[in-house]
Amino acid sequence: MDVSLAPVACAVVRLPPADAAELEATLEGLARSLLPTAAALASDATEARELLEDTLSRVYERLPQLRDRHALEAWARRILVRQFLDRRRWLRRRPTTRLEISVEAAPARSDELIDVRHAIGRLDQQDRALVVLRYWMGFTVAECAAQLRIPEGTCKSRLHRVLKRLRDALE
Amino acid sequence: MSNIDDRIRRALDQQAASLTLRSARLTKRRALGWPVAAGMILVVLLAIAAAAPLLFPGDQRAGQVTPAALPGAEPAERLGPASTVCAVAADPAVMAASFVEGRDTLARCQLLLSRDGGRSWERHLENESVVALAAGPEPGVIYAGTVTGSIWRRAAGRWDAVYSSPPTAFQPVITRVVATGPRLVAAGRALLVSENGLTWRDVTPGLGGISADPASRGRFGIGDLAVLDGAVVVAVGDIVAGSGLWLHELSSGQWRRVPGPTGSVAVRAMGGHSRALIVATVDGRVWSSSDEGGSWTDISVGLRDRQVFDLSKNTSKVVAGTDQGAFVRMSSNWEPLGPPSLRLVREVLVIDGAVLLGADDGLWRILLR
Repeated sequence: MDVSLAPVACAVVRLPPADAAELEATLEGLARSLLPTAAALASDATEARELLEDTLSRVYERLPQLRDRHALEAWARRILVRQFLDRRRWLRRRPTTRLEISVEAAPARSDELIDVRHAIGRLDQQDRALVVLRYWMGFTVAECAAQLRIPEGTCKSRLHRVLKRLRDALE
Repeated sequence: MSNIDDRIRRALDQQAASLTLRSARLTKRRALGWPVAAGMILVVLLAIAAAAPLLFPGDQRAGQVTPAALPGAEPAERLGPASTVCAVAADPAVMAASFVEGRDTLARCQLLLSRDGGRSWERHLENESVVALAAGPEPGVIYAGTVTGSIWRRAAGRWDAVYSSPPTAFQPVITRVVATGPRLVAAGRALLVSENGLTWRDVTPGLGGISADPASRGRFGIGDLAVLDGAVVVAVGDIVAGSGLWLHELSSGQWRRVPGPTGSVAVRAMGGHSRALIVATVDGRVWSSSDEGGSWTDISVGLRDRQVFDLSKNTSKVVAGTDQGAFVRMSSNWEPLGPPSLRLVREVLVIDGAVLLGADDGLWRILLR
């Protein structure tokens, strides 16, 4: 990984001059741990990569706001989900320093679950995020509601509706 | 667990595992590549220049752009290359600015000097990446701080390295050099003070847990500073753990913590003079203090939702460089300064009768009437 731009980038964006190699290692580690979540949320590899790049650029800009370094990954994951939900709004305000990500996609598989993946892929952003939060990340309904910024009752009924739609699509 | 729940979970597991990370690299944003973007900016500027007489009859001057409304401001003029400005300094005899050159791993901040008010420029210190500049106190003398922690001094046409950071495991970058009265102050991995520009002393020990041992610097760094009467206030930061303000008494050499305006929210930019301080925090707010940080007033009105990257130093005229252009504080509000096309302004410098703005697209001079 190239690191020589980092000191210039740090100085230019007026962040404290932290160790450049450590900064990039931190961001690369985050990229690695957030990639599965981005892949689960996004509809394809390109969207996942862009989502991750935008998220990590936000994380980079906001690092000085983080109070507890142990909470870094959970904090970044929350930013990722919000980034996915508010994609259009975020794209208008792209940061000036980015973490460029390169990903490799596994060959497409045709198996018993391909129809499930297609059915999830056809859901709108809010519903897809809800399915990922609830069934893949294991959040409770209350936690999903907080993350999506909707009332708990609305979240419960939406989940019920989404499940019915997926069940109908798969039958 | 129902069958559908399990199938959803396994399908998402598959999708989540479908990608692997090849590389991650920190870079400045250039959606179309640096030369292409610069070329497009040039084409757009030429098109605007060509169309201006038709669009704005009677409102054009050669090579100049009419700035947004600033009472007393003349049109803005770009000096030097149309490239990102890293640092700027000027006195009546010489103007110095460093511009980003190259891409990705080769990117560096190249120092250029002009002795004719910005009309022509010559390259200096071609083996260094210069990210901090200051002029003075003697006429024509320039100081340059580099990403490798060196300070260079140019006097009588000659450059001399006047400070080199001790070897350390951490990047020893110099982020700021400020000349004030006869004294010079530089900051980065350390706070350095000089009375003559030739010899520098590291006054950092005593700040928090920092000692003379370079190993104690760890992730410590100073992002910005303000020189007040008899004291220097620094914004100390750790890239992850947050930051705080500290004041160094120049006469006694003592350090004390200054209560920040917003608890642990990091300070990105600061300026000040006499006993007055002004700081911009990373949550997009600007604060002023007239008693060396004893109490703070929120003066963000008119600047909300903008990230401030620099504030003017050592002057009563407060100018802020932000991610959405530059602004000058007029009575109790902020007024836009410079051409409306300005986006990210990282450097502001108030000099006699003018403001210099270091932006993403070059160095701009706005003359003040």
